[in-house]
Amino acid sequence: MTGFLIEFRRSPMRWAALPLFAASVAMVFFVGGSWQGSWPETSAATTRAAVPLMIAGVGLAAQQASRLRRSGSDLLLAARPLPQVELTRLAADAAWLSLVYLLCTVAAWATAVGAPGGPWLEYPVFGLSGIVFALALGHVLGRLAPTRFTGAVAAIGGFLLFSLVFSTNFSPLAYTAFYHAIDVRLSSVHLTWRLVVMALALAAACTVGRLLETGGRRVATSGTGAFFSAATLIAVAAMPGSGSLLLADREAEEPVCAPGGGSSVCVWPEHADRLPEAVEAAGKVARAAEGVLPPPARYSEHGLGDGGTGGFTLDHGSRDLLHTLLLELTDAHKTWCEDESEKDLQNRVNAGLRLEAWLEARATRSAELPSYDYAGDVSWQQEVRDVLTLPEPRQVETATTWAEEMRAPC
Amino acid sequence: MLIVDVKALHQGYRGKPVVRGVSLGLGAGAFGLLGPNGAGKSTLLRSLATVSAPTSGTLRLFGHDVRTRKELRAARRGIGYLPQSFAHPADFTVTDFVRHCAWLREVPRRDIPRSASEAIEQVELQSQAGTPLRKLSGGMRRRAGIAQAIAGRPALIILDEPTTGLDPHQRVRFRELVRELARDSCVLLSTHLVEDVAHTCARMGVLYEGTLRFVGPPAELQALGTADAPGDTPLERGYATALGAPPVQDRGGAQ
Amino acid sequence: MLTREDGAFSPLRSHLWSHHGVRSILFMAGCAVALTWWGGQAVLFPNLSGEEAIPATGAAFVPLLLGVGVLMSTIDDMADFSHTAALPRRRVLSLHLAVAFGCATTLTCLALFLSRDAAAVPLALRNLLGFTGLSALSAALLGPRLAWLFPVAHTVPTFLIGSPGERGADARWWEWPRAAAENGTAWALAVLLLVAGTGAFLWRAER
Repeated sequence: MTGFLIEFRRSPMRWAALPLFAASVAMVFFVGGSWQGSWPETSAATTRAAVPLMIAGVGLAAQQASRLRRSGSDLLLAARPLPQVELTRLAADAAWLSLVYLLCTVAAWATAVGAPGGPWLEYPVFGLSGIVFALALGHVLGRLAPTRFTGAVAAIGGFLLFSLVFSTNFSPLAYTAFYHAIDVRLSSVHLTWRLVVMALALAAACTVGRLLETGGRRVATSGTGAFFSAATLIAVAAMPGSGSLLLADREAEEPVCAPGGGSSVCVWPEHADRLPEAVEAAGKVARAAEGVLPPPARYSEHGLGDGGTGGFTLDHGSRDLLHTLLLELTDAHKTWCEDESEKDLQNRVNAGLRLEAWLEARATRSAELPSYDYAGDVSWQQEVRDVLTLPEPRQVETATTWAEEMRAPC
Repeated sequence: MLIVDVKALHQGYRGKPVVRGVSLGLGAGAFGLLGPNGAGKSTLLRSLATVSAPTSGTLRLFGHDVRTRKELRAARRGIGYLPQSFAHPADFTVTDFVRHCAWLREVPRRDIPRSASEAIEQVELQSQAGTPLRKLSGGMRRRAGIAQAIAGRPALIILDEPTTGLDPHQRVRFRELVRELARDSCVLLSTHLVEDVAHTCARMGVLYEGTLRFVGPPAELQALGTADAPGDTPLERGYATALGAPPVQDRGGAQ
Repeated sequence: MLTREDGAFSPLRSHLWSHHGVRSILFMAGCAVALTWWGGQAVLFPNLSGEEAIPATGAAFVPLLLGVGVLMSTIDDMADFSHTAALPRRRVLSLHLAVAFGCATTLTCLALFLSRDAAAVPLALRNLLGFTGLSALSAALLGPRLAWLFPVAHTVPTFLIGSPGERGADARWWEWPRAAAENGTAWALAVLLLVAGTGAFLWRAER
């Protein structure tokens, strides 16, 4: 413990802590507020704070290891085994960066205090494991290529590499882990893999020094460093990929429901405080569709439903909420035919589009049509605009025709 | 005129007071500074070498008040300083190193090669002049450090523990060199070795807990020693006795 | 034979040597090669905020490396002596920074001309100004060995959560490296950073 405290007090990370705290806070708070107010989304957002810490961590660890190697003080004779000395040094560096990361996490979580549920703790673990891995990687780089530019090149090169492979299938990172909807959660497979990679990298960083020793001792002890280095590379290569393994669909929990718009409106337990918002929107949709389409038995939030459009969303504003509720409503009445001519299919689709646009304009009490980008022939939009100028009974009559076209049997 | 004129100088290190009200006046000649570890010797020498500005008190070098940039520059031209430890480019040879330091001290450019060669000869490193510093032994590197401090014959030569790592022959040679330099310059050196001071310095000071406890010639320090004081020689006993003495203020300078 | 031991003294050579000038020039040349290769091509950086990813060119990014290189070239292995030198360190460093910045500017222009992206020169020069300033600020506060820390700490949010819009038309003030070359605020910030950064660095250089 004394060794750790000595290293903690003299770690170069202490100088970097303040600017890195600023960068980490920016990574979380400079992004629009859709992540605030619910534990799942806030927990996912906190992982963004780890990114600057990882990138700078690679550079700082590389710089420190490089400096020690160049000065020759890394291999000073010590009674304590070298891996133990290295581990203490890395632990002290990791403690500083982890402190910064946890402060950012607490600041982000503070925005969700009072919301139903609680913080998702695997997300800070996800971030912390990334930081420790980055430090271990930087340490190895600094040991192997000790120059005055090693730190800068490791940090900037690491950032570029991270950016370029990030959204490819080679990426060991979940590109949605930094922001995602309420219906998914970090998979335990990915987290376990990540922790294994971190542990192996740490072991490699602590033992790689042995590879640099000269003389008879090197032959005897360098095997451990080589083993852990190779094991880390193999573990990185055997990553689960950027597919569904990284984020798993959540098990549908007991939703929180309330009657609204002639249906039952259900949300995830963490969104219970936003249920009134959804109920009100369901009422608007029901009023807009009165006399045209009956409401479904249940409106479910994204991820809670069983098929269909996948449910409504609460995270992207009231307009998006209305739109996704409308889709839930119309979807329940759509007919899908396996064998249908292109023309019939197009008519059915266009009828659905007309109906949805008309319903949305009415639900939002706006004469303007929603500004979604539609591909192909959009002449039908003018038709909807014309209908919206007609008296109410004529509008309902036309909309009923569209609804019938949309749900006509095969 | 005094070369070093210090009045009530206070100097801290990382917020902790280390030198507490030292007054000292030095002219040409050798002055040895003795004191136990942590007494503040290096901190005082760093102040006198203008590495760090004093916390309070006045410091005049060659009559220059070193608080202004212009005066500081003028004073620094006359200071040769050997720090306790120093870094250097790995590939610098002894000659490169000494010349570079002479250039930093604004020794006239045309005089630099000659001054450097003379200084290297004086520390007997001629045969290693073209050797990179990293290939030299610790003692030889120390001699290269001394060479850079004396190149161009500055009027004030400050040497912080110059004899560390020197072999017995080189220590004797170093004492001769100090005596020779002290004819024209003020040579201020710190050491733990009482005999180095006794054989080279006309005056000496004992620093303890940031204050001067004795300033005077070695004979006076020797006379100060009591029979029951620890030490093998009269000078060591005098040194041990001085450590327990109250602080003194030197206003001398005649050496 | 005249050796370096008995030849005339060259302050320039000695200064360059004590600052590992050749390595710094090689580092900057390496950056210029990267800029020639990357140049004005747009590369998609991921957007961790969930919004649409906006591409960035080498002209916007590589000046980060060059700016860091300018400041890291001031690392002095003779610092124990330079700091007590009669020769004013501030003057030496000013000249050093001016020459290093000049080299970085020349290499940037040359690289972009070679990659036939001369139109990207203003953007690259603006970012070189700003990143050099940020590096200088970092060097002033943390030492020249950590000159890269502030620029990296700023670049990560800028390139990973910024939403500057197509060709940087909608860049917010802190996204200045990704703003369009015509953006006056971005230029003002870059110049301000250069002045403040180099000012602080030179101020800290002297006792």
